[in-house]
Amino acid sequence: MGRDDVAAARRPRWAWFIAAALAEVAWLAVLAWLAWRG
Amino acid sequence: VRIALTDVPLWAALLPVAGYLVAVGCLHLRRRPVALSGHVDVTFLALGIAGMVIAGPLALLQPGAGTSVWTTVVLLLGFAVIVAGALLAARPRMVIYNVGLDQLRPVVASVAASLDPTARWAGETAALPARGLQVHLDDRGSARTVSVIAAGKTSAEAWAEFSRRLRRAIRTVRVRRSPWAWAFLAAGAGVAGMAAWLAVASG
Repeated sequence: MGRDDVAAARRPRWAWFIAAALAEVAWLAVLAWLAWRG
Repeated sequence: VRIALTDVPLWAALLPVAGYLVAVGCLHLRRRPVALSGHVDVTFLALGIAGMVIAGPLALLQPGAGTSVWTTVVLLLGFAVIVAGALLAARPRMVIYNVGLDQLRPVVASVAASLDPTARWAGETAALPARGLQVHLDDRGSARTVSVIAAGKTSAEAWAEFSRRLRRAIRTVRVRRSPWAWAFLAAGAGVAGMAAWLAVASG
């Protein structure tokens, strides 16, 4: 394994998905606030 | 508390679309292919279009259902249920971004041979009779994205093992940047720019 492969293996694969899910929840909260404000 | 989905501004609904396009552009910019399971791929697409769904069909349904918070939650859950149903009904699939069929096929062939020495090919489909698995490489010409789809009757364990090994094998492949990256990034920037313009014009 090269250096890149070691770094890729160490990086948690789920970090991206969790980040995307958090961004989506934050965006939904903003959307709900905008819809509530009218 | 009342939440009227018809009041969701279009600029806010467009933001996830821009994010999705930029994310796909970034996948095409990488020098190694990215393998996503079909479920993850469809989930990201559903999250990307969620804003358009909320501002469109769900806002259209809401007057009949009322503007209570829980009505809004149930409408959102209805969309989630449709997406979940589509995911469950879909064939097991792996989507590999930024790879050509000519580069992917030898990788799939070596994974198939390691799982079942009696594996044989017909066109772009490999049959692994000892494992109860057939995989088909679905290539969209010059799109540089290939789907590996389980065809026919599929053993769930065999597919799990195959996709695990394919994911590992694909890490060794190096590719050049896909020219599609710039098209996706430009489209993402265009949608983001339109959202910004709408926000400024309406604000």
